[in-house]
Amino acid sequence: MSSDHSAVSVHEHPPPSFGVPNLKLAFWLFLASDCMLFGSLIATYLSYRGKDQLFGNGPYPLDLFSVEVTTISTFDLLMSSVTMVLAVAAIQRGNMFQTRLWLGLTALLGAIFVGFQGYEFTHFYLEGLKLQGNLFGSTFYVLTGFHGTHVTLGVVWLLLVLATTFTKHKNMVTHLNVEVAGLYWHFVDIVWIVIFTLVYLMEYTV
Amino acid sequence: MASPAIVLPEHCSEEKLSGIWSWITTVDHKRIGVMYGVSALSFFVLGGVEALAIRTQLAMPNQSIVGAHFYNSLVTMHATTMIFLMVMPLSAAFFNYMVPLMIGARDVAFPRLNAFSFWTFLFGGLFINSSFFFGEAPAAGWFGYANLTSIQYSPGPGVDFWALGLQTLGVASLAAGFNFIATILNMRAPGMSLMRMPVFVWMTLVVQFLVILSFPMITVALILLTFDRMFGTNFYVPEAGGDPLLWQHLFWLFGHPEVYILILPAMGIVSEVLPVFARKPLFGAPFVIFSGILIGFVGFGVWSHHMFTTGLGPVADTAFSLATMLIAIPTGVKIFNWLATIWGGSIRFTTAMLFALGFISMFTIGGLSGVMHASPPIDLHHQDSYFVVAHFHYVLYGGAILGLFSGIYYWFPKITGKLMDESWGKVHFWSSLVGLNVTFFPMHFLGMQGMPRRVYTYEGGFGWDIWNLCATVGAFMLALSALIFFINLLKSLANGEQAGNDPWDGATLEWTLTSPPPVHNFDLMPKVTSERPFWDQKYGSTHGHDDTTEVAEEEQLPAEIHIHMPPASYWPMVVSFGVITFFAGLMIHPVVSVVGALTVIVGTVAWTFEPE
Amino acid sequence: MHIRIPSIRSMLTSVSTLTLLGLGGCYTRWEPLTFKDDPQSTMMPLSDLALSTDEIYWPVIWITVGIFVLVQALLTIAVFKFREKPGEPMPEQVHGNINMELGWTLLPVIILVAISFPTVTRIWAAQTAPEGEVFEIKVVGKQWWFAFEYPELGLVTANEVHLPAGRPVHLALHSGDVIHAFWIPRLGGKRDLMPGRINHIWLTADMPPEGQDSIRLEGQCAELCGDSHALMRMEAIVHTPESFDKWVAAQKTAAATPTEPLAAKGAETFLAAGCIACHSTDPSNAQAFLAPNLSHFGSRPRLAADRFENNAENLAAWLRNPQAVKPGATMPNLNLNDQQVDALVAYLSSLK
Repeated sequence: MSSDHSAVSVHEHPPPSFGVPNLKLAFWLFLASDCMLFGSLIATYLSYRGKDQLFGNGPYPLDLFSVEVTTISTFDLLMSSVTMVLAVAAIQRGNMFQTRLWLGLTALLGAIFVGFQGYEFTHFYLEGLKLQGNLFGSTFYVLTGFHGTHVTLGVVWLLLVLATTFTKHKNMVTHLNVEVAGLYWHFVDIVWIVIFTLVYLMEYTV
Repeated sequence: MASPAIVLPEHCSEEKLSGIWSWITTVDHKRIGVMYGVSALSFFVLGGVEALAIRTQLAMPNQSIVGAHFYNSLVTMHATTMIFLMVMPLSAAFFNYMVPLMIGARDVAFPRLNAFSFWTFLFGGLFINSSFFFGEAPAAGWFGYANLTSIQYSPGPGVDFWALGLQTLGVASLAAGFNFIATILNMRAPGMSLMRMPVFVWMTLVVQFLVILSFPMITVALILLTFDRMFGTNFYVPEAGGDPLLWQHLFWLFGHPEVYILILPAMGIVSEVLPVFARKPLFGAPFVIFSGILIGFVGFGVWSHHMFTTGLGPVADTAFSLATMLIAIPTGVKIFNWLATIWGGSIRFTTAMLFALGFISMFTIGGLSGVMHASPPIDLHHQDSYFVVAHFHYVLYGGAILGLFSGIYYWFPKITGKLMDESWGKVHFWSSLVGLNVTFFPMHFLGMQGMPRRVYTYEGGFGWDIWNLCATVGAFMLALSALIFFINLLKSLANGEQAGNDPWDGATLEWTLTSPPPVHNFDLMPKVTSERPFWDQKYGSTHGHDDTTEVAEEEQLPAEIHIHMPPASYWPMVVSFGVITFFAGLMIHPVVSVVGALTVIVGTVAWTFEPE
Repeated sequence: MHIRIPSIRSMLTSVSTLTLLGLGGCYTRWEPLTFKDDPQSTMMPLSDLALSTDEIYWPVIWITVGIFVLVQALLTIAVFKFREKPGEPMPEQVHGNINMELGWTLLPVIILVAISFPTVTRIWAAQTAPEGEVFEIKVVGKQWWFAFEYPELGLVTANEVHLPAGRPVHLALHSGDVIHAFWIPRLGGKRDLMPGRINHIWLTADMPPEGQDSIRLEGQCAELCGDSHALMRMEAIVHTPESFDKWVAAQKTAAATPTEPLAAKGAETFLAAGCIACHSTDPSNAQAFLAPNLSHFGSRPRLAADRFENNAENLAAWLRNPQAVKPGATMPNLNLNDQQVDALVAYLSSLK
């Protein structure tokens, strides 16, 4: 068999057949998977919602929630998504100073959110909500705890990217990399919106 | 014109590629595939020994060769090993070795992540099995129903080994899922549209989607179980409001797609083997592909057919029963398309072909018994009886394992450059076929006679004695057939006949390469003009119309081509080690978990900054 | 080799004929597959519930056997007819045929639709409480025995459930610890005993065979529930109405205090050794759910959750070391000496 008709390109990295770079595609797949993870945790929370009332086993959500405080932390996280978008736009334009600025701010706002979570956990704990005590405690802490861990890891990621821009590896911080970090960040934010709605806000309506 | 000279990087030299360290740090999909294969076959022996112990205990009534608790460990570990440490990794061996070759790629999208998946799988498998030496192997069944798995009713460490081990395996599978989807979608050779991909690659793609979308549910199920056992929560504790059904829903939301994860790769292999040895194209290839996709999709909607006895209510029972019946349809479509493939062909009965034909026959039996218990009135007898054991062994042994053996005999020449001995192969086939029928067919009767499953002993006088003895005899036949296989494998590796590039007159791209392929796979990216690129190259296109995509004027090929191959790396193994240390630490001491987590983080950072 | 492709109409005709034959005509029981001499056979119905399942089971068996035969036949024919012959040309490279795809998609659809109708009606019928008077039995599964309470009668039994034939019975299924399952195949399919919820079985048992007052049916737990899952058995005794009333009356009468010296000694030991803390010999005692109720123990043919013959030797073995007989048994080993064991055996055997 001649090789003339079978061989074509000598390009080392041919364009992706699906049109989306590998890293970004793989990351979207990871997010789909993470969606199923949070979906299962949220379904668990919802399936146990209200069960403690049957056992007379408090404290209950409305005893503990401060929708004002959580609204502020939610707003903080939403703002961090804005700064993340600005960071991606900045690196697209090649503006390293602004990239660093917005990355840093995103990380800061993320850290503040984690701080709020820590405050809330401590407050609830002191009010008597234990991980083991009742189903609300178990489902709430596990669900929001996993989310908070995701945010924390995101903050670490952003700081690492930021730090890299100050080292000899700064060329590794490309538009694609920052965009992927952005995807993660927005995902974490969207999951929070869902949690905020189903866990917090729903207690005030249903 | 003269072919260009291929220049490979220094780290691809003969010297650099020999020795154990080169295997530990390899990121080559072919070597990783071989490691998955060797591991899977080793676990096959382990799972087989467990099966023999089970069958020996059950050969006659009222025996006490093994004790009650250890027997429950045996059934738990036999299933866990065969499912997670044998069928899945053996399928992964083929994904790894063959998919890049079949799509015309040099490697997968993320070679180091690929290595990470392998090491994490291996450590996870070793971890679960270490339970035999560290107190107690898990004994709550491979589907670990709550609340039997609670700390109250399973106080030993077995369930913890099981839960944390499965989490580890989940990490490995998820990483591989992201990797292979990106590879298949993005790294196909020019001209290979999705509908021109080999069916094996399609089935791999569907399986990886099933993995990434279903594993998170078992991840959560296990997280909740671990929290219950280690941190005192009550997710599955009924006295505190927990619901054991939550476990079942989460588990089976994973568990049902999992069975399609187990069977689709074998179906993909059969779809490759039958056409080659019948010398005809796969009949209705688009229908076979779409059936696979439909099975994957609908497979997410049938999970509660494992729960018909739990009292979900008539609405749920009806919905899941109808959905389960629905899924029989694409499965049937595949079977008929395979029959039509060989019909009118010119069939060569190589061992690979025999196993593929055996698959059709045996899987049909398993599929039909499955249709029977899609109906809840019937299932209320079948559930948790030996009838179900018969069903899943027909689809898993008669289906997945026969299909995977077909793949081994088919692709062994490509991987090793040698042919497996056909005479020994035929003995292996026939002894497997007879053995599996002698073992598992009587189990239908046992089910109809009311014998429940997972019983370490039984009384005489129920009509069960003869079938149990028969099944035990069959199990030893299967053991013998496996021995024959391993002898053939080793013999063929040592002095098998030279295979050449294309021993079978194949149709797909892997047969265009040497056996084994060079480290860089393809010198030049192949141009693909149909779903049987190599066949058409040899025999001309058989499609009525000309569907070749015209490629631009042939480029002037340079005299030398420098090929970039990813260098070896130890970071994947380091991060794997961090993962298993993190999980193991939950049973040992929190500091160990912290060390594990830090290893993962530091290792990942180092991995990121390693030159590619 | 040219393939003759059948028309859609001819395929549909043959398919529908087969299906209608299958379902309409084929409630045919093939005796060897009824396993009629096997106590736990699922193919020998003795209740309306079991019969209802049986009526769909057999047609489905024949349909699946039919499809099995068809597929195996096609495979076998193909394998012989189309094996490679020396010198033959490349076979016709057929890529597919849309009519055949439609045909073999519609064929399974028709068959499955046919199966689904009787399936769905049976799902709903089995889970609908019958009208009118229903005899209530509460079932509690615990590791590794079954407790039965008859609220209307004020009675409890352990490991044997007594049912009146010809009357609708409601079994309310509870669990005292982990998931178990209630399965007496001749009375019908199984249902799980789930901790935290109540599951239901409604059935009307058939009359015992001609000339018999009652019939003993075998069953066992069918959900892995721990070490001794295999030993968690039970029996159902289905009575004619007269026999049932007789049984109730006898059951309500507490066994006479034993006069025979060893048995009397056993009665004292029963209290002194602490058996009374968990076991009761009073047939109506609700506390019997802690451990199997032992009223009329001497009349029971089997012990240890219907696992062993109730004789002196087996009973003594149990009393000496429950865990040796039933791994993981909850009953503590009371370290009884031989005299205590002999006395207890005499006492328990006397409880007729």
